[in-house]
Amino acid sequence: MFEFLKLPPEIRMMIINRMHPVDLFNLKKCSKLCSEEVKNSKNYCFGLLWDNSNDYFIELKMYFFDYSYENSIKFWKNRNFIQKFFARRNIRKAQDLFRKKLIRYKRTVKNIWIRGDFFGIDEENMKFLKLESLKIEDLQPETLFDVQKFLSQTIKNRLEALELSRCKYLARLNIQEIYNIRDYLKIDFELNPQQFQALIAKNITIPIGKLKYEDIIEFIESWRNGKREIQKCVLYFKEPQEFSDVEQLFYNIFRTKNIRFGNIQHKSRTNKALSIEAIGISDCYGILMECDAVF
Amino acid sequence: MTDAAQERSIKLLSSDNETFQVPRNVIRLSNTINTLLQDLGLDDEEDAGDAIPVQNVTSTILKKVIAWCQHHHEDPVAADDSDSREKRTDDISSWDVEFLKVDQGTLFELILAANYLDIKGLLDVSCKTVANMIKGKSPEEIRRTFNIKNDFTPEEEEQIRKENAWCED
Repeated sequence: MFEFLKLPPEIRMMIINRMHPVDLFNLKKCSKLCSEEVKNSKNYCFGLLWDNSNDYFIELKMYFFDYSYENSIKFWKNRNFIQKFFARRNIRKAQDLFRKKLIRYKRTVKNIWIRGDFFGIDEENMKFLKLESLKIEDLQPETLFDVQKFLSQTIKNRLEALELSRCKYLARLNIQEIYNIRDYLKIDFELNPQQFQALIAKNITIPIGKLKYEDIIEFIESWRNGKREIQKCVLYFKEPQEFSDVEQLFYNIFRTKNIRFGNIQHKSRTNKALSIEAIGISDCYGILMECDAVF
Repeated sequence: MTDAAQERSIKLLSSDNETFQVPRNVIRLSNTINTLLQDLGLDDEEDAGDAIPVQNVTSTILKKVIAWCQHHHEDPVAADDSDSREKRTDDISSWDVEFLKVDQGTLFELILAANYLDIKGLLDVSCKTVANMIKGKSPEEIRRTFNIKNDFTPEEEEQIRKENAWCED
């Protein structure tokens, strides 16, 4: 008979530290001692952070989960989950979504998961690794603040790097295709611009779509940072536009959708592009500071 | 350790008084034995003298431990990268998988012996085997497998359930 609880505590911890978070949750439910030890294990920061159930902690959890485990990455790919989460800033929806996906994940790969490894990780992910090994007691408020700042900045940098380097390609796509690419990119977040070009050239045809009013709303809704406003919105047009009409249209949409902003400033315009910048926003740390649309 | 010291054997005495003659370069995987020999100044001696008692390790288990060391004694020394090494449980060699296909009691004893003798590789691979045994099991299945008594009150159980609600089926 294998008497797990009769093993020396340090050996139990060695075993626990080799377990996947999903299994840790089950072990945690076995007994008080198991629960205590799981909570003290280095991988459990996931659950504990989640248990705090505010968006801030969930951010940490999401990213740890995404970047720390090979199968978790497989699990998330094509799901656009994090972007949805950040775009909506709707914690309950995010939780539900996460839960449903996790259930599906457990059903499909329950018995074949392997502990993630960090092959080919870049320096940025090394930082994630270090953060991952933090225990909750290490996470003092000031540390948490640093972690939050780090994550926000990292995520922002990643997305900005994606967006800005691909802007000229995105401008040629319709909204659904942009979404598809984003989903696609989830598979390999580290694609460089050349790889991305190859992807575009190889896999995607580019019919230019015409968006409707509803599409614009959907677009803005999906990209806005919840209560945090869109800070800048760059619009591309197939044909030269009378911008006063377009500006009015967007102004109305912003207003009717209760998107709060200070002033709209015309940052730049050509006869086929308009950049609108909302200014006077103090609390906008959001990751999607820019959005691009094609009409 | 000199070449001569590597070529010689030492004797280990199990808790049930069975003596095992083990090549020095095989048992070098045990940090406990290494330290003991060094502390006693016997590391370079031709004859290490009396058998070294290995308390709490029975002859059956000691035989298994020696077999494991025999198979692995020429393995390259692993880099001290315990953090990334322990993150994988799918990297157990097929030989080790077969080696650890033992009853649970033996596995339990092997872990204790590896810990006592401080044989990191054996301890690592046996802990991974246990982690793999837990993989995909429900709490009740884990309790049954590892003889864990549920000592939660209903209220505590409810609290745990709430904590885990987000990942419940």
